[in-house]
Amino acid sequence: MKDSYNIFKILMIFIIFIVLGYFISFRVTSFSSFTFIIWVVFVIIVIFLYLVFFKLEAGISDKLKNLESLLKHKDSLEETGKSSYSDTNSSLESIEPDIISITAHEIKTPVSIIKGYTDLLLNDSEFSAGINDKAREYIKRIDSSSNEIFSLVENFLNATKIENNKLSLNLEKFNIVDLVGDIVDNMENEASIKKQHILIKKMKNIPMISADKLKIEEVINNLIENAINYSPEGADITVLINFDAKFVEVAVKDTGFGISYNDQKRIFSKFFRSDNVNIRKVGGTGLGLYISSKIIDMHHGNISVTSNENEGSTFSFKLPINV
Amino acid sequence: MNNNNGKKILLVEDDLFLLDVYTQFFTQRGYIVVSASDGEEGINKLLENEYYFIILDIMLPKKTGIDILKEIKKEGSTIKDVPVFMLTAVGYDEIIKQAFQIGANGYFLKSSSLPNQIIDEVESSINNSQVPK
Repeated sequence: MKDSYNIFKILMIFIIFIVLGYFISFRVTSFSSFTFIIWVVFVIIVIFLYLVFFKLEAGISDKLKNLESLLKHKDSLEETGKSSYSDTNSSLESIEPDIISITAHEIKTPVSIIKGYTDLLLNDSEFSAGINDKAREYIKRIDSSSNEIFSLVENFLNATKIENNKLSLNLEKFNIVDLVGDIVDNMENEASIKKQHILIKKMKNIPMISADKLKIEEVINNLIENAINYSPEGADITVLINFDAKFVEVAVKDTGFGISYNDQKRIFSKFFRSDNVNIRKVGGTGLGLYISSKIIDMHHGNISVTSNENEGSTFSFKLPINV
Repeated sequence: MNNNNGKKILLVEDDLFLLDVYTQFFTQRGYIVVSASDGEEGINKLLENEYYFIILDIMLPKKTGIDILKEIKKEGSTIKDVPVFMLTAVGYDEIIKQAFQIGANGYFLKSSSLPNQIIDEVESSINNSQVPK
C-alpha cells in the first residue's frame, strides 16, 4: 500500500513538472533546442532532488534496517551455538517431533533395556555361570529379536527422514576397520544361532575416512544382517575391506540363495521384496537397502550388488577417502 | 581392565532400568557411578564430585541434557574441561549439532550402542584427546 502511494506521488509530481516545463518552454519565444535542454535539465534536477530528499532517504533507511536485522539474525545464529546459555529448553522447543520419531523413541528405550540385561546375562560371569544351555539359547534369541526391533524402528525413522529430506550427515574421521570389527563382534551372537561364521578379510593400512559413522554403521549392519538372514545354516559370511587411491570399499559376501538378475535391478528401491520363496520366508520391510543406498549416495559413494542364484551375493559400497 | 578404580563418573538418565543397566556395565569396568534421574538433580550433582567424564541423556524431566551441558560448559565454569557425552534415543541432527557447538565430546544413540560399546568409545575418545596435549 505504502509503495503504491509513493509511486503515485512521484508520478503526479513528474506530470506536474512536465506540464510546467512544457508551458515554460512555450513562454520562451520559440521552442529551440536550447529551451528544450533547459526544460529537460530542470525536470531532471527536480526529480533528482525529490529522490534525494524523499525516496532515497527512505531507501537507504530501509537498507540499513535490512542490514541491521541481518546482523541481528547472524548474531542470534552465532549465539545459539556459543553464548546463549540462559534460555532453557530452547533447543528442544524449536524441533517439532513427528509421531514416528516419538514412537521410535518410546520403543527404543525399553528395547535397549532388554538388550542391556540380555547382554549382562550372557556375558557377565556373575550371571552366566548359573544359566544352562537351553536358557542361554533362549536369551540369545531374545537378544537377536530385540536387534530386529531396533533395526525396524531405525529403518522407519530413516525412511521418514529421507522422505522429508531431513537426513543430514554428521561427518567425522574414523577407522572403518575398527567399525567393521565392532559390528561383527556385535552380530556374532546372531550368526551363531544359525551356526554361521563371519570372517573379516582386509588389506593393510586402510586409510581413515571422513563420513557419518552412525549411518555407515547402519549400512554395514544392514548388509551383514541381510547376509545372515538370507544364508542357510552353517554358511560363511565374509566382510572384505579394500581401498585404492580414491575409495575405501567394504563388501559383504554371503553364500546364500542369491538374487535373480531381475531382482538385482530393483533391489535398492523402496519397499522392494523379492518373489523368491526362500527370501520371502525371511521377514523384512523392504527399506533396509533403500536407506543404505541413500546413505551411500549422500556420501558421494556407490553401492552395488553382484550375485548368482543359489551361489550367493556380494553387496559392496565404496566411500571416497577425501569427501 | 580395572585401572579405572575410584574414577567417578556422572550418569544422568531418567529411565531407571536403563540407568541400572548402564550403572552395572560401568561398575564392571571399575568406575564409581554417581547417578541422577532428572535434569535438576543432574545439575545439583555437577559440583558434588570430581568426575572423570559425564554422560547425559538429552530428553530428561525438569531440565534437558542440553541445559546441563550448557551449565557445564558455561563461561567461568570450573568443570569446563570434563568430557561430556550425550546419550539420545532419537538422532535429531539439529540437537546433536547444537550439543557439539556447546562443547559436547561425543554422542551415542541408545539404540545402536550397547553399554560396552559406549564405554569403549568414551575411553578411546578420552585417550585420543589426551594424546596431542
